[in-house]
Amino acid sequence: MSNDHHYEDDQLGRAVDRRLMARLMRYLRPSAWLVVAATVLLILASLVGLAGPMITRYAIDEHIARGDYRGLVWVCVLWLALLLIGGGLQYAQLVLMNLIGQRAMMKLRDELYQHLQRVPISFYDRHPVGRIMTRLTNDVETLNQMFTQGVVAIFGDIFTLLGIMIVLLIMNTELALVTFLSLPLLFWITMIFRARIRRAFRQVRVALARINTYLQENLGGIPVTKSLRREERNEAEFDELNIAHRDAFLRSVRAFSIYIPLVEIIAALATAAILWFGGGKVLRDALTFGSLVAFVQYAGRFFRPIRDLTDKYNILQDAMAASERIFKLMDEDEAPDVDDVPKGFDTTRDIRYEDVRFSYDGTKTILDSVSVEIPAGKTTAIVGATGSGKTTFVSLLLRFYELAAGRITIGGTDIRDVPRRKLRSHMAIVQQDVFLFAGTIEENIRLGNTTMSQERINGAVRLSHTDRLTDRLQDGIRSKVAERGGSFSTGERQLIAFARALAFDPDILILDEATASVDSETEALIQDALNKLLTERTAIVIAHRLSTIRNADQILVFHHGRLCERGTHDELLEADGVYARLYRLQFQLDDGTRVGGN
Amino acid sequence: MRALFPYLRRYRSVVLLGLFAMLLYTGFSRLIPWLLMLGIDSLKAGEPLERVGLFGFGMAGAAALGGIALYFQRWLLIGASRKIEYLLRTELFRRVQRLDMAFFTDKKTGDLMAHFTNDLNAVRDVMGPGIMYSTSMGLAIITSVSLMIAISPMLTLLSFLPYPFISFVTFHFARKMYRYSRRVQDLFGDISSRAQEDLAGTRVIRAFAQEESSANAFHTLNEEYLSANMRVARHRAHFFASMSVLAGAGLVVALLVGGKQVIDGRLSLGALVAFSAYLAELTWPVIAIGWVTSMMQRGASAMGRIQQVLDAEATIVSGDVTSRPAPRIAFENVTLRYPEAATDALTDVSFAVEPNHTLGIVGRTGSGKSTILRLILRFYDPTDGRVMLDGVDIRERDLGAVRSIVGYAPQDAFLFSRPLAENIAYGDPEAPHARIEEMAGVVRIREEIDGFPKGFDTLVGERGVTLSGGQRQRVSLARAMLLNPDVLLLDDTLSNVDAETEEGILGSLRQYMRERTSIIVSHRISAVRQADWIIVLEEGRVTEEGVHDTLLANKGLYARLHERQRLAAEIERTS
Repeated sequence: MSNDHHYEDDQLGRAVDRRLMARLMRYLRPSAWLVVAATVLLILASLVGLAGPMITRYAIDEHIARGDYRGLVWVCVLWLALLLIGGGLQYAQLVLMNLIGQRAMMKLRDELYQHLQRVPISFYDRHPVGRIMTRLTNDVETLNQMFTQGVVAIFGDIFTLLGIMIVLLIMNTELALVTFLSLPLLFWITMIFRARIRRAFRQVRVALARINTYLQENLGGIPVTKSLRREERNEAEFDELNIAHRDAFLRSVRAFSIYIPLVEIIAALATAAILWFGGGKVLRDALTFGSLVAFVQYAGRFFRPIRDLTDKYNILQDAMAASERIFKLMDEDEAPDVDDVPKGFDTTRDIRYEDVRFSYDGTKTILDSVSVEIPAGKTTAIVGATGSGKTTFVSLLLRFYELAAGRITIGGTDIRDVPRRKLRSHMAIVQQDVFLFAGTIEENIRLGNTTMSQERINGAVRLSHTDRLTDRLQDGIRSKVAERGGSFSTGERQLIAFARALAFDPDILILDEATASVDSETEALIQDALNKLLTERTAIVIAHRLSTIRNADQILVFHHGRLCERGTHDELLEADGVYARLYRLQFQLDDGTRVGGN
Repeated sequence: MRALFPYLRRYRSVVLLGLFAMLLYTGFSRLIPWLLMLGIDSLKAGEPLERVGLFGFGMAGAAALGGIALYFQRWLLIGASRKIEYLLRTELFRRVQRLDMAFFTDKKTGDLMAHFTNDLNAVRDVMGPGIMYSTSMGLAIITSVSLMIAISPMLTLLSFLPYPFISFVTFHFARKMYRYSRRVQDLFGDISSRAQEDLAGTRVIRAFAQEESSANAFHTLNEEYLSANMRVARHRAHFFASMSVLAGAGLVVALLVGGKQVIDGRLSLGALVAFSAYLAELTWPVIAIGWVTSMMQRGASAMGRIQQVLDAEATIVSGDVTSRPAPRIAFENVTLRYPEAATDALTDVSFAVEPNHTLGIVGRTGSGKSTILRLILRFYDPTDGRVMLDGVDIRERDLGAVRSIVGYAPQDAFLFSRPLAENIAYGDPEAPHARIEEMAGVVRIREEIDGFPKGFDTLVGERGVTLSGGQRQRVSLARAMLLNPDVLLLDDTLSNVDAETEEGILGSLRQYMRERTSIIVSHRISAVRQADWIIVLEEGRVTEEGVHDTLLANKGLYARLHERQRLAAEIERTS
């Protein structure tokens, strides 16, 4: 099995990359004061958390040893108060830390989303949406871990460790140094096992990714498996992956199974050493009982921060890898745009293509030296075989792609001099493959435009005959649309798209008429809606219906990326060229409704 | 949960040994504070340092032995859970592969994947940490409390005052937490699908210049997500803070009451220290009760879902007739309605194909062409009527025997992300390379493959060379033919190849097909015109049948399709 190439997402690098860190910190800047506050709270909380053994020591030496019960009561009251304060600090610190992380993530997600709506459309031709999604969701979530559990919490661990060391040194330098003897040992063991555990976990992750890829693929290819009777062989292959996963996991279990007892043994050794050396001191009156007890209790607390620190290292490493991928996406160039609308820009004027040439990949020419005028307020129909460049022709007007040569003007203004969103705000497109979003019908008409009045929407629904559809539904135009509009037929989806276009009331309307079979009743409705859509605006229609073409003011015929014929229906029939043949192909043979491929 | 017993039983001795190790570990680790107590008290009594040191060594020894026991406890118990996970996953895969096709049509791949990932993890957590922690916690509570009572019953009672609160808070917390986290997960799903859609539909959003409003909508969702997350964070912070206060309060009480007892001479100082140590050790088990309970609940429902898949009965069951059938196929009044469909996919379809003959099937999209092939493969069984293979109802034949004589090349040419050679030899991984090359030659993809830098070792898939639709289809055809099947089923297999190339491939296949029974489904007349018999399907019914010439004379759908395709080809050529 040679699918190693699938797992570049698992590659890990350094835990701290200064360049990436600096860039990440920018997302913390709006919460700078919160970060300061959280850090202060964290330090205070770890210090207060260390109070327990000190208080025990004080209680033993000053009160219990002297039989002072009243004093003991006060010490206990003080301890309780400190506990409450510590709890409060801990609460505030945790909440703040999460808030900081969540805010940073929200900002990152928002920025990434907006960026993705600005990269050139061609970006999506190259990158599958699924992969981009992983950046936007899982990778950002990994970063969140770093912000909430990683960076700042590291300070907490370090402060706790330092705090304990200082307290021990103050209580008794010699005994403290004896106690610290366990530290190098502990660090050393932790380092060794951390490496082993990390390696094992990485193997687990790679194995799991392989299992998931294998499953995903094989569940999709079940018919192939069944028809070729590969079941048993697949089981053997799957078993291999499964065993690799199990064994990697067992390696991590083994490493943990050794590491955790070792830590406990070291802790016990430290306690024994304290008892031995400390005991001697107590006997010589060089150490109080309370201090001895405090020593024992503190020594037991050494180990958690050290263990945590190594966990943090892993979190940081993951976060770096995730941010690397996110920033790579962020650095994708956005489509260049201008800011100001040129004076006199008017979308109700004539459109002109001047010697337009276009290619998606720079080698295969899709449109070649296309020059044509599209008169304002009239309907222009575009006809041609599959792959003749019809859809590309209209995509260019929307500036989804940049021209290789030539220019497109509206009323004499080059559309490249107009901000994209301004340009498009006067246009509407109904695509052949109607894309509906999950939500309601109304939301799909409105597309988030909150300024659009309800009357306008209702009017558009009526005019486009979408009400025939919505009246049947329980919730009318508030009825739910499933993902990708799955719950509606092609015809119904097209009606909704018409309503959408009508509601936006564009100066320029672009239609890519559907060819899919629509039942005759819907067909009639669509026809009528179409007539309403086309009146009193510039319309460019990639046409399949005879009536649209017949009534068009001009017909453009494309063939292999070139505009080969132009004129009205009658003129073109008379010329007896490509159009005439296309016309005969479709209308004489078929049910007489469509022309051209799609 | 009971479904797990057989798996546990397989590892019964391992689990029992692990539990025994746990017992030892618990014993040794309880010993340590006790020895500490003895050490402090002997120190206090002014005994010689050697004696005190003895206790120190005792502690170290107990820790070492306890450590060894802990190693076995973790290794045996958690190891067993990993092995059970492995067994379950293997079994699940085995079952899933053998489920009916119908099962896959109404279940999304993502849902099935979830059984393999989330559900399996939840079950594994129960088997390993779940069982381990619940028993070790039980043991810890019993032993610590007994020892504490041995030290001082009164002190135990009083310092336990905060503990009911801990249990209560934990229980309360775990329940709410689960609900809140679900909400976070749901919103995360919403964000994902929202972004997924908005990016897939970016052309629409941009065409209507709604980038800003969609970004706002996304932001609103983001904000909701933030506040749901913050609710979880506040809740969690509250929990942790209350835990440290409550657990600390127990220690305060112990110090207050125990200190008094020490002053009064009713308790030794060492006993007080040991008591505090036992009390501190109890905090985690008490907290974990709630945590483990909710883990067990989740594991149980996950196992329920897995069990459903494991229990799913296949309706396509193998028959008893194992003899190798001759490639003679007949449909007798076959009707098929897919599960949960409103209408029939096929209605009363009858035809027969003799060995070494070719049947062509023509019709529009959705007319039922592919369904016929699926019935021959027994992906489905007819709702009514019979599919006969060599005179025997296909349902009475051994499933393997049926599929082994059939080669099937579906329109949706599904390839696997492995080298091209392995894809072609998918049905027979031991096939010699010469045979693979030969097949590639027959489907006319050999030259293109040789043109790739890595040739037949080229990886198929996202990061390999992306094959065109036509190339994929040809690879899939080669894959079907490699096994030298007696029956060849082509389901519009060359739809993405241009008509001329298709013609060429079919031409070179013709000799091959003469020795086999073939069924060619196509939307192109040119692909089927040479067939021995052609049927035309409309809405699941056979509306015309015959040979090419008679069908043309019929002037029906077949003739119309033919004329249209002829003209289209002509336009392509002339202009």
